[in-house]
Amino acid sequence: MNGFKNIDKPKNTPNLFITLFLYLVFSLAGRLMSLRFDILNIEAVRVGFGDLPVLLSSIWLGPFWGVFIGGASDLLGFLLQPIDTFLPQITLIAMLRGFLPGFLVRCTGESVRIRNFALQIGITQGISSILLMPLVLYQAFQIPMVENMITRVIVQVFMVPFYGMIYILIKDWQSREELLEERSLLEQILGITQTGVNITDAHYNLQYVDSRWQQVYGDPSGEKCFQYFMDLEKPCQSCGVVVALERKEVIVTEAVLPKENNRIVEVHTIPFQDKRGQWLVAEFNVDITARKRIEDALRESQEKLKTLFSSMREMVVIHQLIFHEKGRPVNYRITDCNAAFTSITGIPREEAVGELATVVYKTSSAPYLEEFSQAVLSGEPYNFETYYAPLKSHFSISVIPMGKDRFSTVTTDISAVKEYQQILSAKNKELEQLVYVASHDLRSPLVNIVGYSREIGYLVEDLEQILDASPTSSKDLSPLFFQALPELKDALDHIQNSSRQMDALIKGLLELSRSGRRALNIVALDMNELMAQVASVAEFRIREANVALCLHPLPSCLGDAVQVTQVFTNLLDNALKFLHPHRPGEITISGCMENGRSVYCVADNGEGVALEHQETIFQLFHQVDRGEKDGEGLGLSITRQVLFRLEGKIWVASEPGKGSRFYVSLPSVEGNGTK
Amino acid sequence: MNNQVIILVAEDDAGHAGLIQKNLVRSGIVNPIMHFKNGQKVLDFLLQQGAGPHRQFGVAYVLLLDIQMPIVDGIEVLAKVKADPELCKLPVIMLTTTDDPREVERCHELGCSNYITKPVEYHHFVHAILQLGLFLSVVQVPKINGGC
Repeated sequence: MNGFKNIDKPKNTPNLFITLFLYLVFSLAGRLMSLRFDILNIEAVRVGFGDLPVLLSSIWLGPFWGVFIGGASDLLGFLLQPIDTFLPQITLIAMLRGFLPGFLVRCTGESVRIRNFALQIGITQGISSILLMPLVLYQAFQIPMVENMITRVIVQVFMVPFYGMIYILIKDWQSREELLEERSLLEQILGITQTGVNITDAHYNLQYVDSRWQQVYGDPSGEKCFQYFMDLEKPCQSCGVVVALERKEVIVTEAVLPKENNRIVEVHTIPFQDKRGQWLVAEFNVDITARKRIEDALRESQEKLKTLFSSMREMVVIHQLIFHEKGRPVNYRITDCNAAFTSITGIPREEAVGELATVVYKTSSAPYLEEFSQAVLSGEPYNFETYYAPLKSHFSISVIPMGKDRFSTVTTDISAVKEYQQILSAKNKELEQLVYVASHDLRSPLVNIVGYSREIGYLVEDLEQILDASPTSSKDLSPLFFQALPELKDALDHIQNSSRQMDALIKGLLELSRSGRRALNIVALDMNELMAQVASVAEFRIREANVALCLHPLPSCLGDAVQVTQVFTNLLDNALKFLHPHRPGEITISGCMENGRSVYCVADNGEGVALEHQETIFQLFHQVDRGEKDGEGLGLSITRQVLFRLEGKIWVASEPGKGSRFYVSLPSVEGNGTK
Repeated sequence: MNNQVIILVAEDDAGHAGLIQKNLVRSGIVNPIMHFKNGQKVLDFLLQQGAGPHRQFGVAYVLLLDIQMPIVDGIEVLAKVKADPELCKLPVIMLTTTDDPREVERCHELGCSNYITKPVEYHHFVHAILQLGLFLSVVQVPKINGGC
């Protein structure tokens, strides 16, 4: 079943012993014959001793051993003969004939041609020995001698067809040898190229495996291909062999070899029919492990980049700069963009890729051309922040040059960051103001407390001096006391007022701090109900001040009931506090929906706020006219802080002397409103 | 100090105003003192507008000006005084509870003559007022209708 393997040269040692045994038999026979019959037919002796071993050992051991043993036997025959029975030159020829082929084979190595030449000689000698054997026997048993010349002619005539046969045999041998050499050459080449070859029949029996397979996988005798290569119990249905046998066409597959550390091979499975019409498949395996690993790594990194590119929240756009004939950049073309580009700009990929910037962005000049050109021309990455008005967004753009005219941009929407920065800076400002307040507003009453205490101290000192100087009766002192009393009272008043002022300020600060920490419970608020409550609390003051309060129907909103109540209580308080002294007060509370938000307005016809104070009234402790009204100047600060936490907003529109309108905007129940 | 010089005190806190007056007197300054409760009132006086008293020609004044005041604050008064061609020579001494460097710088930029922080420690305050008295007595106070 393993046909190719049988062609291999037999090199089994037992054959050597057989040859040596035969050699001994023949040489002994020749020796005995020459001694017994005193035969002088040199030809026959030589044949007996030399050529037959050549023939036999050539067949069993190959041409080299054949000619070597043949030559050795000739030499031995010569040595065993009595010296006077041999003509020296004939002996020499015998020796040369035996040794020359061996010598040639030795000197020229494994060349098929020389080997075959030597073989030809050896086999010819062997055959002629067999043919001449009867003659030897004839002579040995004293059969009437034929003339020596006649014998020779007969022998040569008999030899002709045999020489022809021998030639054919040798040719056949030669071609087998050439085939062998070609095969070994082919195997060598396949070995160098790491190509494994095997042949399997239709029943998955391995017919041939090359030497490399054999080295690694061992003897394939009796093994099925799936057992031998894959350690499987049965063939895999997707296997190239199965498919190739089924479809009778060449199949190219990839296989992982579990027995060889998962080496990856590309298998070309080629079905063919042998001479008897049996289907076989030849498999050629090319090692592609290194290529595969590189391909896999490449694919992986490509996929990584692709995933990164498409799933990045940043806009990534690849561009090509367009130059004017004079080398000046005039525009750029978008060559690729990711999904974020579309989601941020709203421009579909198909409308952007391949188009000029001026077309895509519908502008007369390409946006940020100067920045982009700078990065491309300098070859240095460039980062900048910008406000892009058409999208109303702040962006941070990184420009990465890629070659002589290409560049990519990674754009991050930093609007939220900017917004937080603004909030942060506003908060910082507030904090700064708080420190200022602590150092000024709290210190101011302290100056009074210390100052007037000291004044009292001076008065007491003065009185003591007078008492010490002229101790008189209490009756005479009374005018002195009466003189000092108003000043004492005045000083104590100042101290008390200042203490109260400080207390109020500290309470205010605490209140502010609490309002910023209170837990929020955001729910949908019925503002009509809430505002009615606010109004009912202030009812007494409204009646006392003779104010006409008008409540319009209000939209609901999202907020914390306690905090929103505080906001509108503060606004109503302020409206009541700053009524115009010379006309009856009117306060109107209305509301509407605007841009998805609920906006409320508390309008009065009071004193109003001058334009320059319309922002400062929301600052800590700011009072337009301190001292004439109650309060510590915290109401609007707290209101603004409360609204900040509720995602609300407050602003004022006012005309001094005519009245103010305080607006409050809060998230609506429907949501989706922007601030 | 020139007896003709009138000291104008613009101070919204009545307590502070009282203390300033008492301590000026205690440190020997006998010049007449006028008190204004806010920036607007002192401006009305200087610019000769509104219902209150007005300054008189040929009289020398010196202005002690608090910064934190309602309606019109000290900085604004200072800016207006220094911008007025008639009033620009009027010596202005800023009185304030804070010594915020930015505010001090701002006042000097606008052209105030001196800047004094109101001290909490009473003797510091007296010391500051006394210094002010000395300062006022050595400064040649211009009669402000002379122009700049």
